[in-house]
Amino acid sequence: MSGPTAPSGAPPTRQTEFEDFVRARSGALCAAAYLLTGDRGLAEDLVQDALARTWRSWKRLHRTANAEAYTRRTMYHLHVSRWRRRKVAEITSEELPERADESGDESETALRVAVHAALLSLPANQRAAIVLRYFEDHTEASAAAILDCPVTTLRSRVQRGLRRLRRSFPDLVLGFAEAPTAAWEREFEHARGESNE
Amino acid sequence: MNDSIREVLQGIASDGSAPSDDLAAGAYKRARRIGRQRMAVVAGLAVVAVAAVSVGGVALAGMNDTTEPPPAINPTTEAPTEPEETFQEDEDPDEGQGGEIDCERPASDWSGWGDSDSMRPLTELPEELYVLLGSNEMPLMQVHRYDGAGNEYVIEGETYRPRIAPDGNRYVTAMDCSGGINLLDDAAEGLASIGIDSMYCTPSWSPDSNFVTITTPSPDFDDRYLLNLETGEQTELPEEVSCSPVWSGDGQYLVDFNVAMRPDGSDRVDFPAAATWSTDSELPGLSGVSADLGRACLQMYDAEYGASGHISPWRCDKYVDTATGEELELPVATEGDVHVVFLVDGAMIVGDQVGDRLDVTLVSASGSVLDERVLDVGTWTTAQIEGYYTG
Repeated sequence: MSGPTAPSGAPPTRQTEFEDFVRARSGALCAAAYLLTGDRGLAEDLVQDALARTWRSWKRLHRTANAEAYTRRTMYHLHVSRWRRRKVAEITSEELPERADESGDESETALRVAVHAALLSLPANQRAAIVLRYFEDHTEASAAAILDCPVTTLRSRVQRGLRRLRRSFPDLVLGFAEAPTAAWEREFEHARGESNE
Repeated sequence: MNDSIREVLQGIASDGSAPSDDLAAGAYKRARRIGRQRMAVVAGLAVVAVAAVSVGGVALAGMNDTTEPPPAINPTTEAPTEPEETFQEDEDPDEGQGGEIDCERPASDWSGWGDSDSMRPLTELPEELYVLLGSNEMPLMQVHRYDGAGNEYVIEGETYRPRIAPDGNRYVTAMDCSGGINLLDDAAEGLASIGIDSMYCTPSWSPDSNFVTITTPSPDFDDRYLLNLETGEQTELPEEVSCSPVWSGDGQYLVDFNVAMRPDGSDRVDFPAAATWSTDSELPGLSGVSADLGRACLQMYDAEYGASGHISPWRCDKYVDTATGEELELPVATEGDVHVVFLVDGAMIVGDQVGDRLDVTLVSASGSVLDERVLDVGTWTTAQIEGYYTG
C-alpha cells in the first residue's frame, strides 16, 4: 500500500509538517466530527475535507497551533454549510430511542445513544454551538468566533438546543455560569448606545 | 440520572476519536479535487461568457422588446444596521434553509459604478480616515470614520466582516450568501445577496477602489474572481494569487506570499527572498507590498492571532527588502502594533497603535515625514487604516 502523495511541487518539509499535524490532531478532530455527524465514516469525510482546505492554505498557516484553529473553524463551517445545501435526513425527536431502564454499563451506553440521537435531531448550527461549548469547552466568545456569528446568536443557539435536549433528558446537568462582560462587549455596547442616541 | 452533558458528550465522542484511515492521504486527494473543480468552473464560465457575448450581440442586432432579468441590485446603505436578534420560541432563523442554496455572483449585466477616481499622491493626510477596528477576543469589527470632529462608526461588523475600500466609500460585507457591496454615500444602488466568503479568502480592495477580489463560499470548490466595480466585469484570477491577495501600492500587481503577477497572470515576479521567508517558522504571511515590489511588510505569528483560525495578515511586524530578505528600518520610530499602507507614488502611511492611541504618519517616498495625526481608538485591540484616498 502506498503512502500519501502530496501534490507535485510541494516541498517535502511542508508535507512532513502537515502529516505530523494530521497524525497529532486527527483524533480530536474526528471526535468532534463524530458528535456533529453521528457516523464515523461521515466524520472522517468531514475531517478530511477540512484538512484538504488546511493543506491548500498550509503555506499561510505554517504553524500547527494556527493550523488546528483553522481546521476546526473549517470543519464546523463545512458541517453547517452541508446541512444548508442538502437537507440531511435529520433524526426527529419522535424517533429517539427508548430511554433505558437498565443499570450500569448498559444504562450508560443507552444514555449515550439516546443523547447522541437527540443531539443529531437538532439543526446543525445548534448542534455545532453545543459541541463547541459543552464538548470542546470553548467560551461563548471563542465559539462565536469559530462559527463566525455574534455572541448573542451563539448564546441563542445554545439555549434553543439545550431546551430541546432538556425535554428528553430533564436530569442531565446543563448550563454554565455566564462569563463576565469582556472589554470588547462594553466598547461595542457603548458605541451602539451612542449611535442610537 | 445526574450525568453532566459534558461527560456524556465525551463518552459519545470517544467512540469516534480513532480515525480508521490515513487522513492526510485523503486530504491530499480532496485538495487536488478542489483545484480541478475550480479549473472546471473557470473553464465553464469562460464558455458561458463567450456564449453570452454572442447572444447579446444577436439580441442587440434584433429587437429592443426583450426584458432583461434585473441585476442582483437592491437599495441599501441607509445607516449602519445591527444583526437582527428577533428570535421566536423554537424558531431558528437559520432553519428552513434546507435544499440547494448556491451563493450568487453579481448579475452579469450589472454595469458598475464608474471610476472611483480617488487614487492620487498624498502630500498630507486626508481630513477623513477610515479605520477598521477589531478585537482579539472575538470577530467583532467596526469601521470608524475619523475627521476633525472626532470619530463615529459607519459600518458594524461581527458576521458581516466589513472591508472598506481606500476611497472610504465602497465597502464589502461578507456573510456567506448574504454578502453585499455598497456605497457609504448611497449615491448608487448596492449589490445584495452576493456570495462573499468571510473565512478562507476575505475580499481584497485594489488601491484605486475599482477592483475587489471575491471568493464565493462553497463547501465543494473555490470560485474566485476579480470584480471590476467601474464596469461590472468579472474576470477569473490566477490560482496562485486568488485567495486574499495583497495589492501592490500602485494596484498593478497581486501578491501572495512569494509571488506577484498582474491580475491577468502576466508579468510574474518571484521574490528572491521567498526562500528565507518560507523557512521562517514564525511567519504567517505578507501584509503589504510597495508599488515597486521592492519592499514588503510581514506579519509574524502570535498566539492570539493564531488561535482565532483567521489567516489574513495586516500588521507590519517586519519591514523587508523583497530582493534580499534583509530587514529594513521603517522611516519613523514605532513602539506598538504597526500597520503600513503602501501608496501609489512610493510614499507610505504608518499606523502605530499603542494602547488607546493610533499614531498615523504620512511619509514621502524619500522618507521624510509629511504629516502626522493621533487617533483615539479606545479599547479596541486592532486598528487597520483602510480608507485614505478620501475627500
